[in-house]
Amino acid sequence: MMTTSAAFGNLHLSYTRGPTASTWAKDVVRWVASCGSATDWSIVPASAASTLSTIVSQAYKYVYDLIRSFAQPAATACVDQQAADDAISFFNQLISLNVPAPKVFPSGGEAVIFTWERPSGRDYLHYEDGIVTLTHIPCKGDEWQIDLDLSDPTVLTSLSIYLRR
Amino acid sequence: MNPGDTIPNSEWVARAVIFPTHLPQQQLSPEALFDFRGLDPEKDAQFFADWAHAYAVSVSCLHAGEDKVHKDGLELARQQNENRPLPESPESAKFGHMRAYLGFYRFLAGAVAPLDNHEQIETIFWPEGTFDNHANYIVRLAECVNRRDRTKRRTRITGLLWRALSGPVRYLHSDDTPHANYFNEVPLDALPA
Repeated sequence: MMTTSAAFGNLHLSYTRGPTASTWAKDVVRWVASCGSATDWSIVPASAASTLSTIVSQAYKYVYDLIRSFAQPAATACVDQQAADDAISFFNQLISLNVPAPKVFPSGGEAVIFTWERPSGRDYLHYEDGIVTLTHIPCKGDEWQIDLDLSDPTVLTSLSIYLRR
Repeated sequence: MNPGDTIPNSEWVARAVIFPTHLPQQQLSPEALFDFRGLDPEKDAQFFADWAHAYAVSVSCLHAGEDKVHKDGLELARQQNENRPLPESPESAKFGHMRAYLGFYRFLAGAVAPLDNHEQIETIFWPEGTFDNHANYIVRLAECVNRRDRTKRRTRITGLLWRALSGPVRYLHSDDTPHANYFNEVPLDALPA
């Protein structure tokens, strides 16, 4: 299942792709059009492709802004600059992998955690010093955690397949 | 119960939801509700219990009843508005640039078991100022745990805590609260998912 999330003004919406890949693009365009009528912000999709890329790039932009806000000393739960820099650096790689836009939260003043919600559970990811740590908490049953060394060129490919499953 | 006492694993504790700080809007993950803060080894020495690292999240004890938890949540939002006013924005104009308490999620103090003997989880009863029901949910880590592994362990605990949450127990603002309708209609995820 693939989830795309986006913000429209003060609404936050997410759309999860069902199992039929061929109808996905059509479904999302229909969803986007229905969002337009549901909010007071009119959306007129000029084309499916440009609408989709706007939604996705807007979500990525919000993630980027949020990570930077965590490093502000006045932030409610701020992180140190190293944590924010590591997160931004890794986030740029995530963007190039075309993974669904994650959500983020700060942890312990020393890390930014990327999250994805799945029907099967939740995935958490953080990056530090060349290593990506992936944590999976299933809805039921045992959690697992794995450290992935980014110096192995196959790791990013595997990670992107996993995050887009 | 005395300050410094351990809350038993079988006791329920509550985590207050403050809008807009904790809401999963614009890509903020809902686990931000558990904003573990690193404790200071000097100022917060009493919580380290000879461990090298400690992180804490504030919770309320539910043994005093839900109304008391609501009362403390309202007071928390009030104090935060007074001490740290929200930056004004076109968005925040819709709710008067003020934080609001929305309710709480509950979990058992013993919801998450430590992974191994390099970590310890303990909830310490610790009244603070007007919050006489306050406790600190504390994660302690051993000296040998490096920075990345500290994050790894906190992430596991945060994820398992999220899975263990139930609620929300919603607080509905009365009509005489400014922007009551707006706050009462803010959606909160029903948990467990």
